[in-house]
Amino acid sequence: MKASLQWPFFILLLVCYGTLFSLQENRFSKVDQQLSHPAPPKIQKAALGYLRQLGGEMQFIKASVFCGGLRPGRDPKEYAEPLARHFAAAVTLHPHFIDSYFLCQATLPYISNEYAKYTNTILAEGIAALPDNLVLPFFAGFNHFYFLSEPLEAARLFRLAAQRLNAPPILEHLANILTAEGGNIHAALIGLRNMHAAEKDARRKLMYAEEIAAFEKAATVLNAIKHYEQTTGQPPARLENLVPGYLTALPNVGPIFKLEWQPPHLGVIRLARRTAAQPSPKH
Amino acid sequence: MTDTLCRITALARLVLLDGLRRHALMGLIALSVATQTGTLLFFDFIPRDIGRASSDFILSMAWLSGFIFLFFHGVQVIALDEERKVIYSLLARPISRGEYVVGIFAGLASLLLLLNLILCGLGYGSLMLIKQMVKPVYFSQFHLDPYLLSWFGLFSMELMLLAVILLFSGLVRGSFPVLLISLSFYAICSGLPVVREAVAQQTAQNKEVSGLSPILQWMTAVFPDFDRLDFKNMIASATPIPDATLTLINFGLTLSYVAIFLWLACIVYQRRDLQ
Repeated sequence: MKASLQWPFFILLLVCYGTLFSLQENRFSKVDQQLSHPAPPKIQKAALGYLRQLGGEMQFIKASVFCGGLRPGRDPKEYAEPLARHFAAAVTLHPHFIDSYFLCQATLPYISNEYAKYTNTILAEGIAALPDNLVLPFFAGFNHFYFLSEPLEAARLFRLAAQRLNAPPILEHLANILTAEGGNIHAALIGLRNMHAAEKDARRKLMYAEEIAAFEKAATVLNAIKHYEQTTGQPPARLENLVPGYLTALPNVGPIFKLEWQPPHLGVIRLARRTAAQPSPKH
Repeated sequence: MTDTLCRITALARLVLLDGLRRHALMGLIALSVATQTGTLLFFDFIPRDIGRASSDFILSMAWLSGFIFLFFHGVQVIALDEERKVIYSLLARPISRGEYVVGIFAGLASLLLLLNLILCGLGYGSLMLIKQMVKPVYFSQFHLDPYLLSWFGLFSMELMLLAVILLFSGLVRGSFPVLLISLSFYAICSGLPVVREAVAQQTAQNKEVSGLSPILQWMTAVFPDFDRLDFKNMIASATPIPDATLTLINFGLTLSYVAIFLWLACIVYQRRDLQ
């Protein structure tokens, strides 16, 4: 090539590259941000070696940047799977890094019940790795209660959180309330009596006393159901069937609670949840 | 004995000065300073566990620097001695081949030590700066003992790899094959703990004793599990330092490993035809 043509040719090449680059940028800016599936965590762990903790943090950063840039109204099911895989990779690579669990809890369980279960498997890794942390069992308990309607499992996790250092008493209280909701009224009663005995604050002591009174009434219904079953061989279809043979009248456990009879389980449901909380989550 | 030590020290000094002259150390320090400055940007992406993420980042970058040093400077230095025939002029002096191996090791180890000392100081400064920049709740704990232990663990790993590179350099001619074999060795070291974990889980599930487990266990004696020298997690958390006996076992094992591989490297060099 002649020397005089070299510079114009180079400038033409630069213009060509610049045009193609702008076209490419323009095209990609219109496409929704995508989150790719990460490599399996075990492969990453083997490949990264000493850098695996940094690898876990990078997975978290990728997920958080993606979540931050989401267009409002985008269907979460489009990105739920790769997002879940990113969190799984992040916690496998670095189970002690707390931010992965917080972001996972903030984004994943709201997508569907399936992902609420998946979140709990991720949180289980954190509960094992960080045995002093009370937030992780609280998150898992919340998911069991709010999304999966499993009050007994939620109660177990809230109780686990309540055993952590500096845990607020509300966790133990929640565990007892949910134990009763799950049908284990006698265990809830024992737990509440212990809390009542140990409590110094007069206002809280009064609240526990009211709840104990309600649970005691529910326990008489539970005993009557057992007698009914022993006599007839099957549980009553309705609680009203217990009157007058087994109970003089159905006790009123209100205004805080109501009895919920789903044979063969008797639950004590806290009414405040039904009125103050949102209707059951829509997925 | 004193004469031997003098000869080894002289050779180590030569390697150290050569490293400094070739800007190996300066280049790596510049790279590390740049990456450690990156910590100040990196922690901006972390909302909560800032202390842990920052210390992870600093030590990971230091490991990366050490890795580059070992595989791109260490391998080259050992190979170039032979390729540029420097080894002849060195061995023409009253120095044995064993002393040559130990001298090269000591020189490169001194460079590594210098690099790690500088990075350790810089990293400490960066962490303290970040600690002051964020609210205490996001960087509540910093423990100096685990921080120093982490650096010691990092340096130990690098020494183990250096000893292995020296052995491979004696066994194989040319820097590129040595680089490939050493990288493969490191890849096996990183992958082996994962395989062991997977086999252990499988054995626990099937409740059968797998014949693979003892093989993998013996393989770990040759391809060491570097995770056992990784103490990063303890720097910004309340996790206690492993007890003194375990720490002694870990570092004692490292020392013996380095000594065995150096010994083997000496034997290989003594029997090697340098023509």
